[in-house]
Parts: sequence; C-alpha cells; structure tokens
Amino acid sequence: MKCPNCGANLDIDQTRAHFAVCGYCQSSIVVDQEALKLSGKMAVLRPPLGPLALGFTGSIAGRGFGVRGRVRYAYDAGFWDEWYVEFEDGESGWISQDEDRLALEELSQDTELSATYSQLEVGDILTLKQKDFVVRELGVATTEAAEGQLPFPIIAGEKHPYIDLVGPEGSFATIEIDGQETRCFLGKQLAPKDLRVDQEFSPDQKDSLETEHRGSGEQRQRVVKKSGRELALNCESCGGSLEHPEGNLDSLTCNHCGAIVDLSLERVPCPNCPASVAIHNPERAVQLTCQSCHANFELNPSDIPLIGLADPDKKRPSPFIPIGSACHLFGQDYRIVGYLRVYERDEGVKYFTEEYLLSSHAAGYRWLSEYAGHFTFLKELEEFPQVNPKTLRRAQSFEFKGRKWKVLEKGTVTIDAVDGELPWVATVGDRNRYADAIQPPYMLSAEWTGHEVSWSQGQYVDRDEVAQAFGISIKDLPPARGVGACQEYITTPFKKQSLVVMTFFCCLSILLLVWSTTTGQRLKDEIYLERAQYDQEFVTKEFEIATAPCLVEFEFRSNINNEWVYLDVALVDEEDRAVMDFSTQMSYYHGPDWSEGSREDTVPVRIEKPGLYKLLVKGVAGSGETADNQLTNQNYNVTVIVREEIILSRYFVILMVFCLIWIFIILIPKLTFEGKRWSE
Amino acid sequence: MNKKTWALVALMVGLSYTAVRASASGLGIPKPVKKPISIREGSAKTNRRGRYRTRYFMGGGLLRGK
Repeated sequence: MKCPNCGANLDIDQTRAHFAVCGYCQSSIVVDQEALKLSGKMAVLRPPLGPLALGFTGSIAGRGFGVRGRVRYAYDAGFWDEWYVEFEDGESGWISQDEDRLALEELSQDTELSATYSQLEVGDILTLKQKDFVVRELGVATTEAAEGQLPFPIIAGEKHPYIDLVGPEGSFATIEIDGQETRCFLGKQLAPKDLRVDQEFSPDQKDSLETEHRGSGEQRQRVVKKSGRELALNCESCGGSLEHPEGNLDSLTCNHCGAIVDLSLERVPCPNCPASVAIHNPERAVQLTCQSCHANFELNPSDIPLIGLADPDKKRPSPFIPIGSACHLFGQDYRIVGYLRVYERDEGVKYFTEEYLLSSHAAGYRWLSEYAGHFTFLKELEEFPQVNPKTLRRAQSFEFKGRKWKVLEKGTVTIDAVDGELPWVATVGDRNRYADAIQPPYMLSAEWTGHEVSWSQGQYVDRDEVAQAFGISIKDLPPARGVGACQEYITTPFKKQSLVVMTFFCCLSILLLVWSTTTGQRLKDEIYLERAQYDQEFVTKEFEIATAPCLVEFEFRSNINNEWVYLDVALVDEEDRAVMDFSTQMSYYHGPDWSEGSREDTVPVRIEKPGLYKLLVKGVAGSGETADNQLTNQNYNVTVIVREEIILSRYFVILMVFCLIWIFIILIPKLTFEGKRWSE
Repeated sequence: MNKKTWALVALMVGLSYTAVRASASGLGIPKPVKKPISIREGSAKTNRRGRYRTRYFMGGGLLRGK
C-alpha cells in the first residue's frame, strides 16, 4: 500500500487501522475499506523521551506487542503520549506515557457511565465495571500530532474533554469525549519490571535529543541544554556566578555560599538575566526560579516564559533550609530544589506552612513539609483512597492500604511565596483546598482545585532526624511548638506493655467482681421486722446455716421515705449466745430532683459452725435528727434477707480500681498529647 | 516483655490471688467472738465492767439519723 501523496510504501494493517500518518511526507491518511484518502498534513512529532518508539516491540508481563502508532495530546500542565500497540494475541491497546509514568489502557466497549462530564467534579466516585474510581482530573486535551497507524482518525488541534480516574490496586481509567462519542479506557500503571522493550535508543540518539520540542509548533518550544560552556554557570543555591571548572568534574563548591553545585544537571538560560538555572528533574519540572534575579518562569511554553519578577521592595522568602541543600532521608539522597510557603487564615491570623520540594535521581520528587517546627515527609500517591476528600468531615474515619485514617483537618491554603523548581506552575495567591487524615506517625493528605485532585502519603520526621539529614544544627530549624499533625506519642516499652498487662488484670477483676455478686444462696425464709418489734430487744425466728465455715450476708431492706432506721443486731446461736454483734443503718432522703442514701444495707459476716441461728435486734427510727416515738409508722418496717456461701466483692473492686488508676496514669499524658493535637 | 513488665505481671498475679483468698475467707469482716455472751435475761454478763444486766444492748441507736 502506497501513500497517496508521495507514493512511499505504507505498512498498514487495514483490518485494524482506520488512520495513518505517512512517515515520509507526514500526510494524514484515512484508511477506508476501498481506498486511502488524504486528509491533510500532520506536524512532525519529535522523538520520544521514554523507552517506546514507533516500530519497537516488547512485552508486558510476558505478552508480546508491537508499537503501531502514537498520538500526542497537550493539556494545561504539558503533554502526554498515547502509544497504540498491537498484541501478539490479536488484541490492541494503548500505552499512555505521561512524563516518566507508563500505563497500559484498553478500550472498554461496554462501560456505561452514571454521570456526564459536566455533572462530575474532582474527587467524585464513579463506578466502572463494579469498581469505584475517584475522579482525579477533569480537563480538555488538544490533539497535537500523530504518527504511525491508528484505529480512528486524528485531527490536529481538535479538543477533547477528558476525565482521569484512579481506581483500586493501581488501576485507573480515562474517559475521552470526542463529539458525541465517549470512549472509556481501563488500565493499570506499569511498573518498570512489567514492561520489556526489545530495542533501545543508542547513546548517540539520546545525545542528539539536546533540543526537545514540547507542545505544538515552534512557538511552544522548550530548550533544554546540557551544562556546557555556552551557558553561564550559577550556583543552584545562591545564584552566584561561577567559573566553569577545568576538566570533567561532577560538582564544585560555590565560592559564594559554600553549597555543592551539581555540574551534571541540565540547565536553561534565565529569560530575565544572563544566569543559567539548573533543572533537577527535567521530566517533571514545569516552573523554575532564577536564583540570581529571582524571576519565576515556566519551562514550557517559551512564548510566555516569565511568570513574575521578584518585587525588589518585598523581602524574599528565607527558608530555614536553603534551596540546593542536600540531605539523606529514608535511605535516599535528595536535594532541595523548590520551596513553597503557604498560609491558612483562621480568625484573621495567618498560619504558615513551609514546603520543601526534594528531588532525587532515583526516587523523583518528595515533599518535606514544616509547620510549627514539625516535619512531615510526603510522597505523591498513584493509587487513591476510595473516598471523596471534599465530603470528608473532621474526625471521620476511612481505610486505605490496611490502615485506618482519621481526618484531622480541612481547609484552604494560599500560596505566599514560591522559589526554585516546581512540577506545576505556582503563583503567589493561588489557592487550593486540602484535607489531612492521620494515623500517627503517618499522614494522608488530599489537595484539590477545581479540575484536579492529588493524594500524598507522608510520615512524621523527628527534628533531630531532619537536622542530621541536612547536616545542620537543630538550632537552625524553627522551634517546635505544640504537637505535630502526625507526630507519634512516644512512650517507653514498659509503659506500653504495662498498659496491656493492667488492662488484662482490670478485665479479670471485673469478671471476678461479676462472679462474686452472683454467688451465694438465698435462704427461703425472709425475716420481717416491724417498728413495734425492734423498738425493744427482739429475737427473730431461726434460720439454718447448713454449710460452715462460710460467709453469710444479711441484706436489710426498709420502705423508708425521707426517714432513717438504725438497728443493733446480734447473731445468736442455738444456745442463745450472741456469737457476734454488728449494726446497720438505712437512710433515704429525696426531693423532686435529688435523692441521697439508700433503703438497703448489707452486712457480711463469717460463721464458723453450721446450725440454727437467729437475730437479736434492737433499733430506732425517725425522720429527723432524733428518733421518732410514733410506733405506728409502717415505713419503718425492715425485711432481712439471708444469703450463705457468698464471696466478698470489695477486694475485686480494690483490684479493679488499682488497675484503673495505673491505666489512667499511663493514659493521661497520651490523652493530653492527643488533646493538643486535635485542638491545634 | 522486659524485666519490669514481668515483675508487674508477678505482682498482679500475687494481688489477684490475694484478692480471691481474701474474698473467699472474709478478710476484714465480723467474725464470731471467742467467748459468746448469753442473751438470756439475768444471765451473767461478761462485759468489761463484769456487771449483770437485763438487756443485751446498752445504749446506742440515738442521733443516728440525718
């Protein structure tokens, strides 16, 4: 099959391809069942930076594929490539490449959407194929160019609204709206080990990528240059001008500020002054700050390079840790490449948070966030919790990756200062909403604007660790105030273990207490005493204690009402001998909304010998301070219930109280700590 | 578990055992007197003053209320 424009041979699979771009003359060709029709010219796509290229072959988890075509889409923050691949089993799919992230997507034919583009907001949950997906981004992409063969026609400059969704276990989805047609692609992130490419670019090819065209046409061109003598050399930290060293050195020490200057970094010329600016992460950096003139500029596009110049009257932000500082955190070497200071206003007071962007060749970007002298190390997540951050409430709990998270705070932050390299265009005054959930020492943080949401997971970093990581004194860090958002309460192992031990014995004492209250046998016959009887010494009827020695409990009950009864009691054996004396008192007073005392009293005693016993009782009763002489008052009657073989409860109560006091002493500092965390 | 925790466990086991024994034996509650007194009227009383009396209870029971 030949190109209808230039006659070059086209290798097109007509059963799949509906569109092709001639590799020689860049003609756009619609592939029909009968003929090839020219539909215009396509801009030249610049060589890719990733591992894939047209005609390359490889495999994904052992499934072989060949790269057949590519489409490049541009969006607000840059561009991404969609590689059209055909698998050896006859299926086709798309490998999406956004910066250094690769993902495999396949068109899902029978996916029904429960909401339209205009109905959705970032953070919303959408169910696709019985899985919940979170709307990460809503945007409009512009088709920039294409190459190779594709399953549908491409028109350069066409705009497509799209929805990016993040699902569980690394899955994601993209919904593209193309006029009346909506296409849903389901996919999974590709780990480097999942993708194997048979071919690779030669070192010469890689070196030839000195100039990379980014965006559509020459007007949107980003120039990335290797560090060389054609560019001025400036310190990444202070912006001071440096001499190019003799020989092939990897780094040199700035003779202005003493910072180590990495000579292997790519550099761009500042659009405002003769200085050069280093780029630590060319794949992701979008905004840079010249450390010489402090101009902020966007790396792409170059037709609007300057975002803003530093106001000479305004004091420059002075981070506690300067840009360019190197550190070693969580087993990885990083360098501070960017800085943001944001604030949150509460009752007229601004609360500032400083955020340092760390960059590492191996790990990419990380954030070190500092608030009130407390540091959190954060990494942006590819997989999102299945919750809408906008609907989260304070103290609400949710689960993610086996941890239970509790929402600590929600709010709006405003950018107050920007410096250095950033992965998006940030200007002073930009605002975004956030929600922080914690499970100390970990933090899960969502940030969202009108069209994008991102989640990060972080871990509290002790001040000593931060100082050690940067090789600075702890005195150089901002003083710590209060409790950090995800600061862990530190306690000794003994305290932790004793809490478990005492909780166990507390539960044991409660069980013993319950057991003790349910033991004992109640004797069938109750003893009734009328006021007239116990007004004088009165001997009750006999009762039998069958098992002895044992503990016997006498329970006295009276129907008093704002009255009291006092009884002297002697336990009398079969030979009319008082084997023991005790007394009991019931006093019960109440008003419309109060009461005190009790109508009951219990007296436990120990009996050594079994046999028949009776009680000798003498008592007084009244309603005021002195005894009432009216013998007719029915309220002074007393009932005595006898139980044998009881177990005393009081010692289990003492044991329980002891355990509770211990637990309380251990928990008070922790509760105070948590109280401070949640009150700030 | 460290040594302090083991010591605490041992202490609590001891306290629990003591509590069970004390609860079952009635530690701290009234026990029968060694020399019981007859309550029959006119019998010899063995009160501290060694006197005879006609009633068992002497005094008490007044001003006990609110």
